[in-house]
Amino acid sequence: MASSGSVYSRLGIGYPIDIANTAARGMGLEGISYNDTFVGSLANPAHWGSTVYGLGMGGVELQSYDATSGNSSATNSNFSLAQFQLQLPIVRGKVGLSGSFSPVTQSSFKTSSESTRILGGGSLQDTVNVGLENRGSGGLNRAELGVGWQISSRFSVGYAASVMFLSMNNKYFATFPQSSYRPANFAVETSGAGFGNRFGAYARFPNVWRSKDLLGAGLTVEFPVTIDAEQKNTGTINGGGTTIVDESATTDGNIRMPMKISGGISYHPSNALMVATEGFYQSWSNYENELDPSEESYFVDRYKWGVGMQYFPYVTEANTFLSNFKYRVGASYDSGHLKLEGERINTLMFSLGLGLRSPRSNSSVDLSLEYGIRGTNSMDLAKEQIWGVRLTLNLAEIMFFRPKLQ
Amino acid sequence: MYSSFRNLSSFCLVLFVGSILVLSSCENPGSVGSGITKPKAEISNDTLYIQNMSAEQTPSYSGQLQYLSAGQFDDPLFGSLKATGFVKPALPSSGDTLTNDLKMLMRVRLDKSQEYGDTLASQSFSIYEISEIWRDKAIKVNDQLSYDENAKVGSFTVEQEDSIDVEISSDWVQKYTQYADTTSSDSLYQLDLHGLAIVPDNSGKIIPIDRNNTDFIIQNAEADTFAVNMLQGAYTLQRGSSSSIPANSTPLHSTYESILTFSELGLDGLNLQASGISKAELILYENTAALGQGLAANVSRANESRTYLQLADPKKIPDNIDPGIPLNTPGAGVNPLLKNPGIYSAVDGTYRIDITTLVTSIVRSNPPQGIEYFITLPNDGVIKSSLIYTDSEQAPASMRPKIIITSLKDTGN
Repeated sequence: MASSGSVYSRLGIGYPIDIANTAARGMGLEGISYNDTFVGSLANPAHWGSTVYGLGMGGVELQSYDATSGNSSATNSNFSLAQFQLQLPIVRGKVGLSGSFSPVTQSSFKTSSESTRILGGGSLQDTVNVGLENRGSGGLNRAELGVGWQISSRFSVGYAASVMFLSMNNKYFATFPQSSYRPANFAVETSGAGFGNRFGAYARFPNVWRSKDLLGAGLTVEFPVTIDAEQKNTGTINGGGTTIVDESATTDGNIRMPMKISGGISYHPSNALMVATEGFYQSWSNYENELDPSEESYFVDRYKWGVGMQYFPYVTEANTFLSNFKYRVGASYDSGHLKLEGERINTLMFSLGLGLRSPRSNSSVDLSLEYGIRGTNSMDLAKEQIWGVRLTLNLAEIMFFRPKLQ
Repeated sequence: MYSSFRNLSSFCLVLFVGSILVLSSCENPGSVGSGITKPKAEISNDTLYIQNMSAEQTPSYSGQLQYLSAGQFDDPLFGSLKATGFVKPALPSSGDTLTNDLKMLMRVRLDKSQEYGDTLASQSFSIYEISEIWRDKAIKVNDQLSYDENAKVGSFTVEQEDSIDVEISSDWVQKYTQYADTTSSDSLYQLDLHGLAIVPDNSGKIIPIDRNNTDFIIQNAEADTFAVNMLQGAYTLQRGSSSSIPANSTPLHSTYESILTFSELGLDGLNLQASGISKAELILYENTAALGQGLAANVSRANESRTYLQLADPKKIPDNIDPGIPLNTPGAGVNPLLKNPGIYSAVDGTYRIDITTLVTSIVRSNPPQGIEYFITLPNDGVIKSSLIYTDSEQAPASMRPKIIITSLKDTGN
């Protein structure tokens, strides 16, 4: 199974994963500034207050990274589970609950290099060819429970508390063509947990400039999270048959994840059309990792801004085949949270989305396609072309509420 | 409508699965990204010098080995050596015929490739009857067995041949045949007839006698000729003192008259991880200059291409490191951690012992308690010697005993 992604996920505790659902990803947005009644979303806890139907969401994604650096190139593919969410109305249209499991960061990479080393000196000098492979996996995941309250028809707030679980494995393998040298390996396993919480607010203003238009504005604040982490060195011997732990190398420390503030505005000129722009700021310069402080200097504050639109032609009661679907398009620019050799590792991403509605229910399938460019070839850094496809199944009405009239 | 949805859903599913297959199959990881930050793993080469290496005298068992040595040679470096062989033939089986006029020949098989001394010299031996009871299982190389020099039962001279038949005197053969005829022959034979001593008469060379292929031929004038095996075989060695050993080196004898010992490898502080160890080698330098000094062109010492690093309780040597002890017999349940083989490199005159498994084990679970390290030459009955540079300050720094460990190290923290 494809399991290696961006080479930049080597740093820190992995590359940040946006909280957007597939529909929002199709527009290069997070989904803070608008609410879709039939599609679950984690972006803004305030949206959960307007939950009418029981909603379930889950999906998978695949991304391919074509990386170049100098004269070298590599292709990596990463298949992963996307977020899962269950969103339930407590007081229909007033108070709703959300339970979810979603990735926050992902470390997924595989690099390999070959070199020739001259070991020893004099008569003991030995020229050794070394193949060194580095594989990383895991990341930070969030199990979250939250509540949203629609205070009025125009204003909602929400809060979510979460437990974040860190589980990362960074493996190194050395191989030698010379038979007198055995393959060697070790792995750095990092695990830990921390508590997080975030607030969200959402305001909607109907009939702003024209009849049946809608202006939405959203804001979320995600507070810093301190992860109590442990790092230990492990390895395998006897051809991988025995795993050993180097107790002397086990260390404890805190990892402090940065605060994030997101905001956005959406405008629905009609029920069929929406345009939106959203952005966020993440104070990665405050990222701290007591287990590996040498990396902290690489992290800088991150800004991301996206603009997108969606069009639902079926709302207009058009009767053509192509009018049955949801269409989304957008683009985003991400300044990145890394600055290496004086260069920001930014990402420019273009997105397309397609939504397929169920003819018998309000459930749907969302598909997003992405193409983007990350990083730079300057200073011997890596530039990645990213292709991504993500599929999410949005279940509505399950178990809890079925409209009396179909 | 429903059909359209179903068709497009199917199309999207096929598209998605197809994308997964295509993108997954395109994986081609390379070096891109490996240099974006400081490497967190690197191949490291650590050199440790063995401290406080010393010599230990613990003469080995010399019986029941593949060879027994006999001969005499004055080694300009290691002193004078006189090796006396002891043999005892087995009794014939009950079906074998023994006539009154039979002759017994000792068919001696020699390993010419492992001669010690003047290869062109003639080495003469006299064979005497041993006058005391002995067991080859218990005899050590520095033991002494008495033999009756007034009861010579044969003699022979070795020049360039690799096999020689030696006729045993009829007096001794007659004694021998008596035991074959008695009903309790085995026990009486064990107690009363003690075998033959092969005693060198001059100083020429020491020759390994192949114990397993040396046998006794019994020739009946009017009946079948047959052979009996060697029932017991051993040798003892008298070594004169030597003043020629350089102060910076220590002899290493296959007879364990001198072996090397040290108490620890000194791995502390190396920051090694067991799984990261790729190669660990103990290197001993032979003092080739001193070994070659004063040797005439036709004089040779038996070469030994192997050595061992053994871990053992110092209070129990040589029993716990001797090949005559079943524990240390290859294939008889030897713990590979306790006996690490090494090979000799003639290119640079080093013995190199692969101790990767040993070091991995020690790093993983600390060194075993109550043991010390012993370096030995294989003891198969052939007398072999080497001269090893110690950690003495008089030894060249580059030639002191050392351990070189190649490992993959975590440099991230």
